[in-house]
This record gives sequence, structure tokens and C-alpha cells, in this order.
Amino acid sequence: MPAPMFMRGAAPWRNTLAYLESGKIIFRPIVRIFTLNYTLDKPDSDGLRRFIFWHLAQIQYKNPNVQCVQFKNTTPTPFVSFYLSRSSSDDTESEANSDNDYDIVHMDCYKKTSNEIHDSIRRVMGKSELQQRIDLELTARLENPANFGKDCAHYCMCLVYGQMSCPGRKVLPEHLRGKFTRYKIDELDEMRKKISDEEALKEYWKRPF
Amino acid sequence: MAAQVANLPSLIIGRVLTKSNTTTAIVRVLQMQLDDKFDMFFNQRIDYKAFDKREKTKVGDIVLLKKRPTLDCRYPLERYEISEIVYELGRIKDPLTGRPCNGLRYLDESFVAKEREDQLKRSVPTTLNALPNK
Repeated sequence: MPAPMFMRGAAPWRNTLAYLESGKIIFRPIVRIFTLNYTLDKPDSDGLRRFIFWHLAQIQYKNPNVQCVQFKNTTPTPFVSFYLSRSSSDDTESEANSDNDYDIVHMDCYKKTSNEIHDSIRRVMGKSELQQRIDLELTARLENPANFGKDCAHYCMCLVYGQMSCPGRKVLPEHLRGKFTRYKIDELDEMRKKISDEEALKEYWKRPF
Repeated sequence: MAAQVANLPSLIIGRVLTKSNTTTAIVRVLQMQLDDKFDMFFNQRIDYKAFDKREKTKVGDIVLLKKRPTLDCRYPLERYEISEIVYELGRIKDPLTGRPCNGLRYLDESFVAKEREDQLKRSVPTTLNALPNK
């Protein structure tokens, strides 16, 4: 049996989620298309070819809404271009969004190393570290399903399947209420003689409200 | 039509596949999709129908599609219009220098002259800096 089934090919650690997640270039929301023009044989575009080999998957993983297109052997010099547009891609956009013009930014890559290309793309079109941290904090509350409240996945924990309902709407069984466990302990004992705790819970779940 | 990625992005680059009439073009667009098992990106081909106002595009041009305001669409599949021809078939212009090019060479300089130059460079290797005493 061939051992590591999927770790095959050149530099197979490029194809791991850990590597893809550790991409550093996140484009600003203006960038829509990322075009790469390079030649396959010439030594001038060696840097760009290495950049594509190592970093393009990371970029596409971190920016799923940007179309990354490669043009091979179209022009003699290698370059990279960005198509910027302000209009967002919602279907419910009204026609008053007249900012439908786009800008093109070209970046020359003739005889540049892949590190230089990576750094300059990050500086020009990438979100700064500060902005990335802000975005992370804003989405962290939303992503963690344990959080509830404003800006989170669900407003109240009662909405999650398997959790207790809101005690304001549906009265809890007596053994779970402070009124009985702290003050009216005798009445609790009386009720426990009639119905056990588990059965009270089952009846609680059966009740609609 | 295969599954569309990311809710119809507003700008897209593709290649004209066919033109059913002078105003409608079917444009093939490549978008990279992550394969779950391999964690690699593969190109996924999606065909869009686009409206072509200027009727100048030929089959095989590389074209920039812009999202069409919903009021102008004649039928629900037609969401995009061709806004600009990026690379025209046979007349590719290098956007950095503006010179027409054909794959690996520029069409401005004649092919023969360049070949001669390369030959000369190869036969006289770096004698320019080698004699400081002369």
C-alpha cells in the first residue's frame, strides 16, 4: 500500500490546511480580480513562478471571493494586475450604485524574487495587520456557537436544540427553581414524594409552554 | 449551469466561447475551487451568458464582465455585460509597455534582428569588462 496517500507531489505540505490557513495576504475588499501573467520558460519570470507555486493557494484560500486567473505565455514580461471595484456583489443592490467603474493596477515582476513580490503585494493590496485583528475580533463572537447575545449566532441560548427554554415563558420544574430549593424546601419534599425529579423534567419537556 | 461561486461577483474575467448572435456571448470563466480531500485548488469552468453592447468581441477574446443592473436584463440568465476586452484575439497588447506582443516576443522589433543580436551576444561572451588596462 502506498504510504501517505495524499502527501504526494512537489512540496506536498503546500496542500495542508495548516499551511493554507497561515497565508498572510488578505486582500482589501476593493480587489475583485487578481491576474497573473507569466511565461513558463524564461528566467525573468522565475520569481513569479515560485510565488505562484508557494503562495497562490494561500491567497485563494484566504480570499474566496477574488478570482485569481493565470495567463501563461501571453506577454514576454511577467506582471501581476489587480482589478478594483467599489461595488459589492449583492443581488439586492439598487441601480443607484453608480460606482460601477473599475480601476486596474499593474505591478511589474520582471526579475523579482518571490519574496519581493509577496511583500509588495501585501503592502499595496493586503489588509494591514491591525485591520486583520479588528476583523478577527468582530467575527470571533459570531463564529463561536457557545456565544449568545447581540452580534452572535443566536440571540438567546433557548434557541439552541437541547437547551432549556426561556424560564420567563415556560415555568421550570420545581426542583430547579430557587423559590423552592431555598425557601420552600418542605413543599419541594412533598412534591418529590409525588413525582420524582426526572419525571418532572420529562413533563417539563412535554409541556408546550 | 454548474454551481456558482460566491453569489455572482461583480467583476469577472473570462474567455468568449461562442456568440449565438452579435449581442449575446457565452463566456467561460475559471474560478479556483478547493477540493476537500486533497486541499488543492482546481480550476472550475463556469459559463455565463453576457450581453455585448459594442458587438466587437470575437470568439476567443479575453473579456472583462461587469454585473448588469437588474432592470436591463432581458432574461434571468443574463446577469453580466461585457465591459472591456482585456486581450483581443491576435492583437494582445502588453499593458505595461503598450507594445503589441505575440506570446514570448514583441511584434515591434523584427524577429530577424533580435535573432542576430542574440547570436552576437552568445558568440562574444563578456569581453566588455575584461580588459581594464587597455
